[in-house]
Amino acid sequence: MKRLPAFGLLVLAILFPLFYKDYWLYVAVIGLYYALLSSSWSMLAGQVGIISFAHAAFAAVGAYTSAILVIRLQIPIAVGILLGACAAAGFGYLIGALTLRMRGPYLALTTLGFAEIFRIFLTAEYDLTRGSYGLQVPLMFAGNKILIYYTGLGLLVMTLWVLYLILDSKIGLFLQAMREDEDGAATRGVNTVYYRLYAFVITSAFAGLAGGFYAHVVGLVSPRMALISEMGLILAMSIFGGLESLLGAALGAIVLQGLTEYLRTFEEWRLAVFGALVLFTLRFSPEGILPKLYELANAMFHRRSQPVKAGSR
Amino acid sequence: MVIGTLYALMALGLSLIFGVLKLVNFAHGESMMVGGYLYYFLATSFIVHLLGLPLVVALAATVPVLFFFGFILEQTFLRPAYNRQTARYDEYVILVTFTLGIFLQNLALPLFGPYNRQAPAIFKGRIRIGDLIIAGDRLTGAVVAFAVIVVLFIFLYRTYWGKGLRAVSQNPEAAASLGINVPRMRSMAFGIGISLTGIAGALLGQIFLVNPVMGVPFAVKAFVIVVLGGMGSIKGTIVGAFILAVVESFGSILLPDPTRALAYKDAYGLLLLIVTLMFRPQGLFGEKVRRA
Amino acid sequence: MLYLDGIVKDFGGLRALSHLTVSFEEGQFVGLIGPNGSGKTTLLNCISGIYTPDEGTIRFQNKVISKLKPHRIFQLGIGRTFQISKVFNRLSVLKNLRIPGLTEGRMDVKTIDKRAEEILTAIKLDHLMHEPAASLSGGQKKLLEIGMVMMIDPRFLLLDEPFGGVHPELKSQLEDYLLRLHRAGKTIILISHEMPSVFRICERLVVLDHGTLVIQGSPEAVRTDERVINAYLGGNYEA
Repeated sequence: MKRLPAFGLLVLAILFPLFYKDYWLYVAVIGLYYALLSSSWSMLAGQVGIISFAHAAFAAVGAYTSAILVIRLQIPIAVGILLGACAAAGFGYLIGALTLRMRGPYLALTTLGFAEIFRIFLTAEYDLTRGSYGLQVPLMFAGNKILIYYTGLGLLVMTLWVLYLILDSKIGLFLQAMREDEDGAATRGVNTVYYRLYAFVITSAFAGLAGGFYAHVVGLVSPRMALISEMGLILAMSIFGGLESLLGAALGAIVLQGLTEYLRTFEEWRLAVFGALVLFTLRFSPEGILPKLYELANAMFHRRSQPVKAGSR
Repeated sequence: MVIGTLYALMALGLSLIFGVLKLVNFAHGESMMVGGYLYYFLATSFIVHLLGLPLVVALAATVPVLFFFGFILEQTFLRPAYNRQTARYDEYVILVTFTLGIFLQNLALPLFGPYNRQAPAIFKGRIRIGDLIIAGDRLTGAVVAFAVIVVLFIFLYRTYWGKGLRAVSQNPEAAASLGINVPRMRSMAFGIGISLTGIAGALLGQIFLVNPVMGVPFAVKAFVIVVLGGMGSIKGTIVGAFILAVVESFGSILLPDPTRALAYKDAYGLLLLIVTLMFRPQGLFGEKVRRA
Repeated sequence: MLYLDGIVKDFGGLRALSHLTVSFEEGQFVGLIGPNGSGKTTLLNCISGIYTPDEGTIRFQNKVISKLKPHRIFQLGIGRTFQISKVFNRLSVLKNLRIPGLTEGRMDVKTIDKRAEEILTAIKLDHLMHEPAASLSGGQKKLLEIGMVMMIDPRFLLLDEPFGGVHPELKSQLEDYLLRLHRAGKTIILISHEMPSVFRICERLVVLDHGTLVIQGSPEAVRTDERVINAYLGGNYEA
């Protein structure tokens, strides 16, 4: 893991609200939401090798759970968000259990099915969710953008920290082995059932956390959170930033969110542009664009700090 | 019956692509959408420019375009990964086809607008067969679909190329050692698959509506059919298509109908899909995958 | 100590194992031979838990293991290698060895790494410790697989074509290593088509054909038995 640059980024992130206010702060917060989703998704897809299209739906689970509980039972927002994460974890367990024997495309298809069913459920159960109108939700910290920003940043840092901890541990090794060869891992003593469920539960818990956070930042939850195109965004951000790097995926989200702002005038083309970007990345640079840029920057930096060799330049 | 034939055509492209290339085309719905728009534009412009030509020609014209489109797609995105024998091939194709679908859908949205368009029906009016009244557009849809399926069968079982495709779907290494150009077969299969799907999209477009998300509900049905019938089994796909058609027509009679049941209509297909994947992933006629 | 009783395994319409009953006593070095498709690998898959037999039971040290998951069977002390090496390609050789060590549950990381080093030295792969497993040759991968199994010091080793594609010098090293393991008390069940090696190192042969037991006994007895020769359809196997 690249320690120094990551720390540098963190410092930049902490100082961010000093220079950017209100509107850009809000954009950054949304970026943090997607960063949470992208990094947790890339844990599942890039490290464990399970491609799930239900991630956005898990975020919606977290969002709606928190929203409904806070509105109806008046519980504090923090508790709501936590319960949202738990609910999402529960659904993650369910999906993990259902797909235990599935691989690759069949698993992806099942998660796709689940995501759509859930979205239909949200739209249909008007009494509970007000359908496509969505629910209005109290804002955390009464809408204080600076506090919200630091909460989001804190959540992201915590998420990345926990996920990296897991990856560096023996669990991480088991998950990587499972990605390489699930049967081979099982025959060497890895309880693949347990760790598969583990991966689903952990990653969907973080998705639910992100969803809960989002709900109390935006103030509105709607079934649009669970749209497949939301999944497309998450995919695009993770792949762009580097599917096999959690930090990369998180950064990919932030970069692309920023890009979205610059594309404001062309907003309807956003996904088309991102889609093209991802296709390009997959075809020519499957490890992601950001990692490549990082390498380039590294190479240039090292060349500058070394004496110029005769003939180069 | 009528719907079944259409469904069969709709799902065959998916099945063929899986059979030969061993991948699930997550852009299936969007392929239909492309076919739908293609037909729409060809049909509406033909009317303006070349009067007197039957709309079937417009339909036929979509075929080479779709084939070419699919062929190029395979060459650009799928072939390189396949050649490099990346260990991540399975993951890669899921990501690529899914992204392709998202891309096409979100390209069509701003390009064509989210409005519905009515593609001109190939034959208007209704036909009466005994007690049944069948709308002209559906009938043409079924007839064309049937014709295409027949042509497909002839192609697969009587021509060299068709046999080559079947060989590759069963055993690529053996096929290669027999002198069959496997990479080209794969591109061909993808091209044919996209054509089949696109034609289905065009036919469905002239029955229902053409819009950027038209492919989604039909794609779900196609997935259900292919999983039910068995991935890669042509026979199974056709059987699955008719099963689904029958279930749907009976299902709508059985359900009591508050607004909620209507909203959940699409969910039933998805549920069926998940259940099948859980308990009998090889479907009715598919191959059971051996491990280790 | 390993008893298979009336094992049946079907795949769709094909019966891979047909009422197979055979036992393996502890400390034996058994060769499992038979023509292609006779069910040898299927048998190993059933023992190691990858397949569950449709009928019959498998008992290991008085414990029924027929329905156990592969990781449990490994933890009970039955280790397995594969015909096509199943190593974790993108992980380093050391990490490959760490995994079975970590699943064993009782060793801490230092012990695991030490043991891994010992094994790597024994199989002469220690210089490749940090290289990705993908960079190993076919023969080296086979050695790595055996190393991975040895991390838990298993009582039973099930080896599927360990000599496949291994060049002759490495092969004799491998034979010596297996003999040493046997002398140390391990039970080894080995599938191989390399008849010279099989006759050299196995003390007992079990012959399968079409999923049934044709004959079992000492190499000399089996070699000259007509049924075996018929099973191989006149294959040319010199000792």
